[in-house]
Amino acid sequence: MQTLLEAFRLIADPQVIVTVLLASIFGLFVGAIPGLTATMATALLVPMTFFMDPLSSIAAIVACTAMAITAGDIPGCLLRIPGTPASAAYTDETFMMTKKGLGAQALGSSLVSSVIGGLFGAIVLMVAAPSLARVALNFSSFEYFWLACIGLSCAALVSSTGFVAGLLSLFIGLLIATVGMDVISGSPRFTFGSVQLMGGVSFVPAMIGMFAISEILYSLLNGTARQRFAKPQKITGIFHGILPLISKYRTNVARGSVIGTIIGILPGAGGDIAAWITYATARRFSKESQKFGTGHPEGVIEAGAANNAGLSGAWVPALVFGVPGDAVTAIAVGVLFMKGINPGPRLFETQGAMLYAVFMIFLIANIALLPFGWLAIRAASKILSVPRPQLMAVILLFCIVGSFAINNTIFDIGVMLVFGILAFALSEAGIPIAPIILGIVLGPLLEQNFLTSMTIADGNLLAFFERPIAGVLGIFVLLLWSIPLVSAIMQVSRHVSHARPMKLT
Amino acid sequence: MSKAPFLAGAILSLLGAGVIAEAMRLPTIPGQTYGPGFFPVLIGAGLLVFGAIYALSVRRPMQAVILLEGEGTAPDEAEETVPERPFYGALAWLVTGLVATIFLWETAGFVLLMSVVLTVFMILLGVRFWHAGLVSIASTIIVYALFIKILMVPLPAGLLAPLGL
Repeated sequence: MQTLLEAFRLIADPQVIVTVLLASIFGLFVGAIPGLTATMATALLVPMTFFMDPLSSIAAIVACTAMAITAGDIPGCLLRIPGTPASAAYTDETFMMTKKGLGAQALGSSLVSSVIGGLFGAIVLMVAAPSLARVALNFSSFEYFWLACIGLSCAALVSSTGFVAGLLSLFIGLLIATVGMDVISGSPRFTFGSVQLMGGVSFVPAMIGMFAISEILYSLLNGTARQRFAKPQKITGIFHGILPLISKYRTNVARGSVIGTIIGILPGAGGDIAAWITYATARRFSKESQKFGTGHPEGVIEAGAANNAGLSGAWVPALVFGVPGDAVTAIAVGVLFMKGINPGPRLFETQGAMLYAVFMIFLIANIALLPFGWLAIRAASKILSVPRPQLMAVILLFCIVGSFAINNTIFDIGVMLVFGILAFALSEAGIPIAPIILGIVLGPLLEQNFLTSMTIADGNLLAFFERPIAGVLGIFVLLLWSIPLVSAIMQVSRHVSHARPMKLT
Repeated sequence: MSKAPFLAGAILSLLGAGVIAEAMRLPTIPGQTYGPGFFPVLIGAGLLVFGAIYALSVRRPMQAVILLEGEGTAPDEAEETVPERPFYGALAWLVTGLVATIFLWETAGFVLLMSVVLTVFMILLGVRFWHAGLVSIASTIIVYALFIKILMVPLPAGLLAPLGL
């Protein structure tokens, strides 16, 4: 109770409130503009969070991403261009609804279901995280090693361009993480004599490069840099008749929230995958599955709830174990580390009030989605008419100043440029970027826990299976690793009969 | 499929070999089985093997282990608005501008440097001169003031220092 009161006191701080407000507006704007993703919004936000206290910075990231994911539905519905990847699953459906004159219903139902999904995920986070943390207090380096393995493996496995591409991306991230002084012995690795690289590759400039600069490069090379969007129709009355609609499809809201949260909690998978899967489950269990794709709200409601629920769920492993579930929480974990706060079960004892304050921010941000989302939909035609060249110039300016501001060195602007080009080249070659971030964040965790464990166990690898929880986690990891192997073997054995991958429909 | 995946796979595979060679030279800690070179060797091996697999699988595209229905068939963005030609000029300027920024940061100063880089960038994307100039100078000065005064980031004044900026 005392903690709760203390938490209330923390979020009543004007700095926190103003931060949440500004971050929300920023998130809505970025989310509503196609080509700018929630991850990019977070990356651009990080240099700002550097000057805030830990609570404000986490609050800013939470509010910004929740708003961005929801605002991403707007251009999808109006122009058939998803604002963020998380909306891509049901973009066609909402656009068909708009064509049928149901645009208000499409936006209204995705907004309201987003709020419900987000709230559900936040409540699960509030309830599950502290009790999981109590279990995690007994974890040693053996368990943490396996947790890091699970996070990394899932990131590679769910990669949409194939697991080989995902694995490659992961190894690149892990390699980047090894640059600098080795934590155990202090010997410099891959620094090539550079003093600036001794401390490792700076995280923030690398991220800004990978998510913002690469996006600018992409739009320049694909000729979309000057593209103007068609003027969308004005949508009003989005809340009209929404409550009966939501209650008619309450099973979808519930299923979307539950599946979304679970997928979010799984390391490596976030809101966009949750949306794809729940859109598919909505269709599978629907009584009117033939209506899907013709402008039917059912899938939109389920997937709309799921992507916001996934966003909240991803914070469970991030806060409890320090093992992030997606690119956004990976960035958040990085921010907390920079502030000298190590996410993990101890945090629930030492910083209980702050954590409860973070949970409350989740609830507030999701409730604030209703008025903010309404405003964003009203302002949609204005937001979408922002000229692209000017927008890109301003983004570029913030990239440069943001990369510089973290360590006040020009070297970091170079890091940003190099990573921007690297990420652009990799995505042109079909290699995803998100696993790199997880590799960078989880790499040190993986290595430290491995080396610590081996020092304890005197180099005996079987020690990783000797503690009960570690053993279970270890077997789970081995099973995960066997999925691609088994599927490869099956593919070879059924080579003649046109082998197909396992399909989740 | 284009040549890009093959090239990327091949380069990453070579990088893996390089990483292994470099990691072998790292010191070992006496009395311990796993030293600072252990993880880099594993990572190098991973890059070497999977880079090669990726390069060789170009002909027969690898499919996701878990295929999500509908994924990959994202709505065609180019359907309604015809994409324009690539902006090679703006791209070249962007890279040159950033490299120039790195080298002239202290001497030229933030406001001057950024104004020029951004103005030219926008002009190359078809924005009118006065408009581009106005947007870049205004946004640069606002950002400069914000970071210097409120966030205390030492952005260089450079050539404009006599103006008391």
